[in-house]
Order: sequence, then structure tokens, then C-alpha cells
Amino acid sequence: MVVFQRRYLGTGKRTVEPVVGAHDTPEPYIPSDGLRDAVNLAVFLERPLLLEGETGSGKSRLAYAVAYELGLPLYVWSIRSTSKARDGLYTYDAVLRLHDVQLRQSKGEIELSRDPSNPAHYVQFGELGEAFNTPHQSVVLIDEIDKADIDFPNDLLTVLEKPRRFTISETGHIIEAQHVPIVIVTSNKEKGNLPKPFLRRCVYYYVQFPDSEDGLKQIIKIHHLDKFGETPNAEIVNKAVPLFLNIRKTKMQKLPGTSELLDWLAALHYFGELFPANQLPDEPSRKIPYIELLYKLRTDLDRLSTGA
Amino acid sequence: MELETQIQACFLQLRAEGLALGIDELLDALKLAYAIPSDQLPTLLGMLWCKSLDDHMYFKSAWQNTETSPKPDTEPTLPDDLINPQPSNESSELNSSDMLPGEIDKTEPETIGALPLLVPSRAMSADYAEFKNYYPVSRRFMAYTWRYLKREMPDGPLKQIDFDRTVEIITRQGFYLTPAYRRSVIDHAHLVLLLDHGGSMTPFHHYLRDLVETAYFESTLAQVDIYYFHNVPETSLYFDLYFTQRVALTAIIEDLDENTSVLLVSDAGAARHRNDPIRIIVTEDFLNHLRRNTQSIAWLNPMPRDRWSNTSAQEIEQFVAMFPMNEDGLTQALDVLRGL
Repeated sequence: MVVFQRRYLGTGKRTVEPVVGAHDTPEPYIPSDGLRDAVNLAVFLERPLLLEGETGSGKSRLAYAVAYELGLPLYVWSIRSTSKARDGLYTYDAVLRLHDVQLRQSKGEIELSRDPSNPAHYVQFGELGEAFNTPHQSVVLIDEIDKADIDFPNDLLTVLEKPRRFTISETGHIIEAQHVPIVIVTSNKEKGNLPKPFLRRCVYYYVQFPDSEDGLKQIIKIHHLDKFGETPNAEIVNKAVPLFLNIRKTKMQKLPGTSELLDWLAALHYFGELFPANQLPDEPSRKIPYIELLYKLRTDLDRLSTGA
Repeated sequence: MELETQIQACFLQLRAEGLALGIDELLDALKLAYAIPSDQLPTLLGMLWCKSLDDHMYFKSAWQNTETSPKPDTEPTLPDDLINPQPSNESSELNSSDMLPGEIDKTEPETIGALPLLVPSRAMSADYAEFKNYYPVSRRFMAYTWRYLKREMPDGPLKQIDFDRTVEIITRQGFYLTPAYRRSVIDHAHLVLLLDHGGSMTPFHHYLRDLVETAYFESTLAQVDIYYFHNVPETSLYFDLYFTQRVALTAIIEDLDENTSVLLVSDAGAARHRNDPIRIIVTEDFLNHLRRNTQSIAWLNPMPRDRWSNTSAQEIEQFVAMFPMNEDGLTQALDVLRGL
């Protein structure tokens, strides 16, 4: 049997002593049993955990929850369409170095925190680079990897598996991971599948939307407590959750996710007066208050009005 | 030990299904088998080996198949059932050997009756499986290949700092005035897709859709033009796949220049095994028109190469670079378009 030093239990409570620089904000998060096992499997096998699933099903938040519960530092690398694999390791500021040299020449010997003759002072570590450098294990979230260029995931392979090291070409330093970071990758499949060599190395988990009333109510409860410090109005929740599930059952182009649900409930509670629960409609209709929080596409709204 | 063989058998089966699994995945799975109670093993193996919901379905059936390992016993029972009636036939034949006229009547229908029972069931299942997995070029591969068509030239706006030259100028002048700039690189690639739509191409419409979508939305090509035709490209083609908006060939040709690559996709009669001399002449004429403006022309044929013989495709192949539409064929076609 494996003995985990830090095992993710998914309770949201910290049971181990946090390391220096740990992510200290508690994250209200309820993982399914499968997701919890997937995290521990990825940690055990030292593989990245790839999460796919609907938007708003809580893929990214898992990393925050894991980092908090295990008492580890968290590095969030949000991928954009222009992201390059090297950005996550380090960036080198050549312009700043040039600027410093100029400053020295024009203003004479002035105090600088950086020495232009030492290229190492112009290296800024990226999120993965930082994770490699910290003396403890850490959690790295590579958020929305599918946004990047088609080659991006493949460029990460050499750093995500053994030997887990990279060279800073400007200084010649080799950075090697002191501890294997827990890497959580999320993807929305916007640009088709990820490359096979990358997929092969990941532990894959598809995050299902919690399509049960009880599951949603539980999520609402912990988020509401966390954000507003009180339990949500039971009447509203009992009326709103079935309505929300009914909305999700209608044919929609863009289904609302948990984040939309939470925003909507917050609006029902605190945006103006507490919305009377008995005025909530039973079926999806135009009469839903703050409908703009749930319907994000005009076609979805139009379909609602015609009743089709 | 038993678990180990089951994992191995399941692993091999999934590999045969085409899942991207390497030896690392097998070793990690075996590592798991020792570390984890066996009732949890299937779900965890699923997370390790499967990368999509489809994969999970394959895995589930493969795991169940390998679980009841003495499976080979069940398969021979099918032929046994079919063989069994035969001895009874013989015995009945022996019994009825006294009655000469009935002998022929009895045996013939029975042998005929046994044949269709066996043959279609096998053929149908085999065909179906093959058809389901017939997907020789993935979307990702297409998106990837388009990038090789790039024709980059440094003639964009003057906006990138050239550090090497800046430093060089400073050392030469002894002082620093402005950074040196460099023109940004711009892609000039122009791809024209000419697609045969409808008729014999109907089974391949999903390829055409993938080609169009990847070229249009997932490539970095500067300009992509798509035109449709039916069977034979003639003096006019169409903007849309319903053949409502007509474009004259001359208008298309005017747009072609040295940065243009033309890719035709058509079965050229190979799908229905046609050899049509007029089709060949018209196609040759069409290609000659194109050649006046661009030399990079390639043809993808969704039918496999061995089906081209004795059809128009075989003739047309003589005057244009034609490749079957699989990963190799697409790469080779792209090489032709790049002038390699």
C-alpha cells in the first residue's frame, strides 16, 4: 500500500503543516470521488493531471483547493493565444539590461539593484520555473492549455516529465526540479484535441457537471458561507436549483455552469431586496429575474421567448 | 500474477484499438496494481489510459473481455453449432438412402440454407468495424500540415527591435540614439481549395468539412479560398457547397500568383470505377489553365491508390501530382505545393 505524505482528501480542511509560501486562501470546493482519486493518482505516478469538461464545472478551482488542502505553494499559469512554452520557464529582459548599461554610461556610477555585467540578474522565472526552484513541492496550474498554439503542449513535454530540467540559454544555468510539482492542466477543447504524445503522458479526468439537486445545493451552501458568511435562504435555493436544472435541460447553445448559478443566486439574495421565492417561475421563461446572468447568447434567449 | 496478465492483455487490446499508449503507461499500470486495492484498479487505470470519453468505452469493454480470460473457448462454439447439423445431415442421408428420389431434394436446400447463415454475419460485422475506424487523416494532422505552406517575408511594419544591430550601432557610434528596428515577418501563403462535392464524394464529406475548417479557422495561412465543383472542374465553380453562387474560372485564375497553392480534392471517377474520356480531357484542360498562373498544384484522392487503376483517376494522375488522402498522401501533396 502506498503511503502518501500529503494525500488529497477533498474535505476542504487542511490536515498537514503548510510549507513556506503555501497558498493560504481556503477554497470552497467539493470534488467527486473520482476526481479526488485522479489527483492522488497523478501525484503518485508523478504525471500531469489533465482536466476536461464543460466551462464552469470547476476545473481550474481544483488546483486552488489542492494547494490549500495540502499546504503547498500555488503557481497559476494562465495560457493565452500568444503564450510560448518558454514563458512558463523564464523570460529574459534584454531591453532592461541595455537600459541599465545606458544609465550607467550617462549618469556615472549609480546604485542599481542589478549588475548589467551579470546576465543572471535579468532572468525572471515563469510559473513552472518558480515551481522548479522552490525548496518544497508545489502545485502548478496550467490553465486553458488549448488557447495556446498547436505546438505548445509538445514543447512542455521535456519539462513535465523526466529529466524535468531546462537550460537558461542566456546564462547557461541548468535549472532542475528539486521536487516533482503537482501539475494540473485544464482544457476546453476549443481547438480540437491536444497532441497524442502529450495526452499519453497525462492522467485524464473528465469533470462532469454536478447535475443533481443535492450536489448543487451543497456547492451553493459552501460558496455562500465562504463569500457572504451566512447560509443561503433555503426557500430560494429550493426553488432556484430545480429551475436551474430545468434550464440546463432545454436546448441551449451555451449551458450555464456553476459559476453562473452562484452569481445568479448572489444577485437573488443581495442585489436589491431579497427576491421572493414564490415569484420564481417553475419553468424556464422570460420572467426569470436577472436572466442575463444565465443566458449569454441571443439565440438561446430568442428560443425562450418563442417557446420553441 | 493473474492481474498482471490481465493488465497486459487489456493494454495490448487497447493499443490495437489505436489508443496512444507506450511502455511507460504499462509500467505505471503495473506499479498501480501493487499499490492499490484491486477493486479500485479499473477506475484508476481508466484515468491513466483513457484520454476521452470514447476511450473509456473501449477500456470498459477491453477490461471486461480480459477479465473472463478463458474467452477463446466461447468462440469455437459458433462453428461447432454450424458443424453439428452436418453429421445429422449425413445420418439422415444414410437413413434415407433407400429412397432415391428424395435424396437430392433433401440435401440441396440444407447446404444452401447453411451458407447464408454463416457468411453475411461475418462479412457485415467486419465491414462495419472497418468503416467505423476509417479515419486516415485526423483534424489535428490537417491543422498541423497547413503550417508547412507558410511563405513568410520580412515586409511587414517596421516595429520589431533588432537588438544585435542596436548594440552594433552603439559600439560604432559610441552613443545611443534610438533602437534599430526590423520589419516584422508576414505570411503571404495563399491556398486555394477546389473540392468535389456531392455524388460519389458523399462518403467523404466529413473530410472536406475538416479540410475546410482546419484551413480556414485553424491555420495561420494569410488567405484561403474555397470553391466547389461537381465531378469535373469546368469553366465555372461555386462559392458554396449547394452550387448556388457561381464563380468564373477566369476570376479564380486572376487571383493566383507565385504564392498560391492549389489543392484539388476529388475521387476522379475512382469511387464508382468510371473511366470517362471527356472527364479526362476537361480536367486536363482545366489544369492547364491553372498552370498558366501557378505551378504548385496537387490533387488528393480520397480513394486508396489501388482503386485508381482502369479509371479516369489513373489517366489524370499522369498530368497532376495525385495522392491518396491519408497522412502520407497529405504530407506528400504539401511537399509538392511547397515545390520540394
